[in-house]
Amino acid sequence: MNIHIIVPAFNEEKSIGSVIASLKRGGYNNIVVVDDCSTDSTGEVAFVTGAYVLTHIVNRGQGAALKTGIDYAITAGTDVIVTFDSDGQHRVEDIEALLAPIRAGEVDVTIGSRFLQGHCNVPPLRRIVLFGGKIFLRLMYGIKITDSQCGIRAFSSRAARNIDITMDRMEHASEILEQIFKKNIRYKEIPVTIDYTEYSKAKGQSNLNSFAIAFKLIMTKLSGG
Amino acid sequence: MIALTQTLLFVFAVYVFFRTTSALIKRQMSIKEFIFWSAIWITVIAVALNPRLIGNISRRLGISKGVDFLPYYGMIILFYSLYGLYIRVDNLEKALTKIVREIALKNKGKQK
Repeated sequence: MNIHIIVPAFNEEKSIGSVIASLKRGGYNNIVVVDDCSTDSTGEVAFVTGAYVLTHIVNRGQGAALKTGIDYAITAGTDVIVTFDSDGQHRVEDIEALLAPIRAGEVDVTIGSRFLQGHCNVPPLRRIVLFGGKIFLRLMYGIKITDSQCGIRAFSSRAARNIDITMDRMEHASEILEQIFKKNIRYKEIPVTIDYTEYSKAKGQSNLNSFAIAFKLIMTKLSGG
Repeated sequence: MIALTQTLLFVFAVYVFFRTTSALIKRQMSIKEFIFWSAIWITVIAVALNPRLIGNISRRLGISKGVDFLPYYGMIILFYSLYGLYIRVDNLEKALTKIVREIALKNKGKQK
């Protein structure tokens, strides 16, 4: 099975090298880093560590970078695409659990969830924000999911062709879910563990950004998008 | 006696109306946008020539004071304009992303 790991990255020179190295140790060699116009050496570090690096000449956001990586993987003849964050929060060991249901033909998309395990290490304030996001998506799109913002997912190439990411920034995560539900794409949530470090918490999106995401989603719905 | 404010308002509104018409002729503006903006500036011209018109219009619309007409309907027009601008900016952002992504894919990546 031809697996491509898509790693969107923006100013992650401190973590991207170790993320790629750990993916390679896990046996994943088709690693595509989409450098979203970083102002540091993210692209260079990714190149030296052995990833295939695509570069945006203007910063467009994680959603746009993912779509670039996904489009590349599709033309490269991928069977499965895994989206993986560049800040070191995701665990390589979780990838196999995401791939297994797709390999078995049970589903076309698997989505990581931080809330399916018995324990949950999400910081309390982030948990409240994510709960609000869950309710919002339920009201806006009728989506029932335990974790709407987890960036680790796997798509069969069929699902990847079917899902069209049009939102550039962090709203893309909700848009992907909306399309999965609207297009009746078979999916499954898989428990994953996120490693919250001081670095990743500092680099991650602010809890306040959730309001901007909600506003963008509402405006897109109002304008018929 | 025509007040200075009326004169300035009249001259300004006529000027903007002609700019709007010019934009339509040069195809810098759609017919829909021309009708929208012309309606506003023609109304401003009419009010500049006859300020009592605001009072008449306001009473017909159920607003007791003519001076309250502007904030109520001005806000609606402003919000509509803002919404239109938001849509335009969003479309421009999408177009920019499309260009950036195509360049990234056409340039092909680099790998050691």
